[in-house]
Amino acid sequence: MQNTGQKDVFGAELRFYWGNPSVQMFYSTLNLIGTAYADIKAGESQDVLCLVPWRVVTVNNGHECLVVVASTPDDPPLPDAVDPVSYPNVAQRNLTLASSSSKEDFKLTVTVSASRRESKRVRIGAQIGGELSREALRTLGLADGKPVEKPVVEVGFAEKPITNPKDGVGEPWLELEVPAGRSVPVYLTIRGGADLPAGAYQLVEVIETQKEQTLGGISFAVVGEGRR
Amino acid sequence: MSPTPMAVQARPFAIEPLTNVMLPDGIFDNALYNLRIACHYTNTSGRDLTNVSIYLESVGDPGIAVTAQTYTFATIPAGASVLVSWAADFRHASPGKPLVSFVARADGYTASRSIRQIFVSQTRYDAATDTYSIQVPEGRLDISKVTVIPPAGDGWWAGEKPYGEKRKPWPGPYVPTGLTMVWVPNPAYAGTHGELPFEDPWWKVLALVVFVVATIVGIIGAVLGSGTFHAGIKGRFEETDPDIITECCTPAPGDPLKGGVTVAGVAGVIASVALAVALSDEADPHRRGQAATPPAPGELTTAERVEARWKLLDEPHAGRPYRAHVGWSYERITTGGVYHHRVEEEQTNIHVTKDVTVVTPEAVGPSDVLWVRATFTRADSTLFTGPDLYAFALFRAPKGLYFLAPLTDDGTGFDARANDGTYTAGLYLQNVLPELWKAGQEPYGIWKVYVFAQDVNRVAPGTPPEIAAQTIGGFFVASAVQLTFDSRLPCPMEAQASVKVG
Repeated sequence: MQNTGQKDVFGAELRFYWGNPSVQMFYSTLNLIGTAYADIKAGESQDVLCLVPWRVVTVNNGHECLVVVASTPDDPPLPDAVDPVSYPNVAQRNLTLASSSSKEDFKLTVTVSASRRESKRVRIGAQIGGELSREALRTLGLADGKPVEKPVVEVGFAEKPITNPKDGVGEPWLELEVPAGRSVPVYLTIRGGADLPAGAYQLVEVIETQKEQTLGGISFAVVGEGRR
Repeated sequence: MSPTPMAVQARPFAIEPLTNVMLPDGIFDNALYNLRIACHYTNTSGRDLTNVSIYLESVGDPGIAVTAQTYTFATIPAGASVLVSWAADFRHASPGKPLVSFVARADGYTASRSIRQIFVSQTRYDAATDTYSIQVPEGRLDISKVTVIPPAGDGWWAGEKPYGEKRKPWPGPYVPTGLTMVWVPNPAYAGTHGELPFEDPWWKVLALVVFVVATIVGIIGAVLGSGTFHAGIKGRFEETDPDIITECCTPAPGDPLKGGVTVAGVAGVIASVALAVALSDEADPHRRGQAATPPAPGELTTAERVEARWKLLDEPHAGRPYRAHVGWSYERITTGGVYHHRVEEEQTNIHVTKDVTVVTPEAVGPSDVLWVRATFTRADSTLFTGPDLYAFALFRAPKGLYFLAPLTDDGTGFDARANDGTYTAGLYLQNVLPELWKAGQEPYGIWKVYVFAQDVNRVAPGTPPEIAAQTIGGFFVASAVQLTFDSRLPCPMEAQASVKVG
């Protein structure tokens, strides 16, 4: 946690959550793992340890999201939607490491959720390429990983599971209507990571947008076989 | 920069905040909702550390809710251990050994983390069978057929006896003289010895925890009514030993907020400890019974019953080598049969202090510091030093109001030098004047000073269980209040020093 303010912080509370991957998540549907506290001087940063073990409940083939919220008693309450872009005291880690063995597709069921009182119409798509921060690479055990910009993998979405690889990977994007308080599944397929060279990774960002505004997303670092 | 050279070197221990007493062997129990997580934090370097801040970072059980607090010290001398503690709510804690992490940071160093386990048990009471049960990860101990030396009189009130309230007095302290303990291991085990509770203390320590929890529940009930302990716990014992016609003294009523409650808590712990003394620290009846009854190959032990009765040959004075004549029987129930073992012997309290010296100024002014220095000498003539003890002093104002101050040997605050065996406490009289005036009291006159100390289990983490089990903490090695079997008078409370304020 980094204290980006001008004052020393004492007794900041950090709440650690896990959730079923959904492109936009809500605190009301997340699961609290545990709590930790930290004192951090102005301008400094520090690792903060949550000692409560994360009892991993296998949902969605074990692909899950972690969210951490740091707060002090003076902070205003957060909205229900998890919004790490607008709130720097919120961090979200949605990375799933996918091992692309030669012929197997990587499949994941992504949940698209609406808030309790408002339905929404959103578009789910993917951006291929880009690079992860050095810190993120280090925590993933990919400190020496080199990003591959040119798309090597194929990414597709479907409203129903794709059981036969010959049916392709699905559509490059989907438009969805999600009723208030409900969640809708989207079936993601990533194919072709076997062509990645050794020591390289390709970043795949699954993004939920509404009227060109980004609501949320999940990032995948696709690595070649043997680097899982 | 290198990490701050500070560490929590021993298992953190539980302090009950109303009475200020440490629970037996520092074990936390979720029947008592409010407990403090206390530890000695040690400067492990050879140089003084400056501008040190310490906080509790996280607890490995989400059922334990800690109140964040940061301690700051201008200087912590080389080798010194400072006592720090945090309030926590244990009502939703699970029995187990959760980890607790602490963070320290000093000028010129980066923050460093220290992680230690604490022990958490769960005590409950079944009124239908008059049985207490204490649950730990390795099994459950059921305690029944408890006999006690009862206290005399109408019981103890926090302050004056209230009129027309629903609160009941605490009828303690109870000096145990016998009980039945049934250990149900989880799972049933093969071989001679089963797992120790928490892989550390003897089974008897769990029985002691039950006694102290029941004692504190009774005291809290007398002070607050209810609300901060599990509603099912009974704070009294009714079965008296028919062979014993004596009665125990009862603490005098006292200030309901501080001293009186502390004195009652201390008396309750001292009384309960008779159980631990009678059942030996070296190896308790369960351990010795196991050794004497090796089961046949292929059998699994499903339960172990110990029935113990003892007679105290001396009054159970804290820090004194008082004796108990004890007889106990052990029964091992296995999948193939039942094995028996029986012992008659005399046991002596080994948590002994040879000498306690207390020094105070003869007289101080109303704007001065009221201080006390105490040394505690073991039976082998060595001094308790630094983190060996959890100690505190009670300052009693001339008109009866009590003020509690920690006694420390850490070279900070009032203490001149760390680890020299001199524990120091101090009270800024200016700071307590508002409280005295609020109670309609003045500071002028003779102040009395009472000193209390419990030993701390300092066994290093990783010590083999059967070795670690032989060290038990939480025994009072010094106490201003003592228990007698003279029921005509309140339990004697002897001031170790007095100071004139004028």
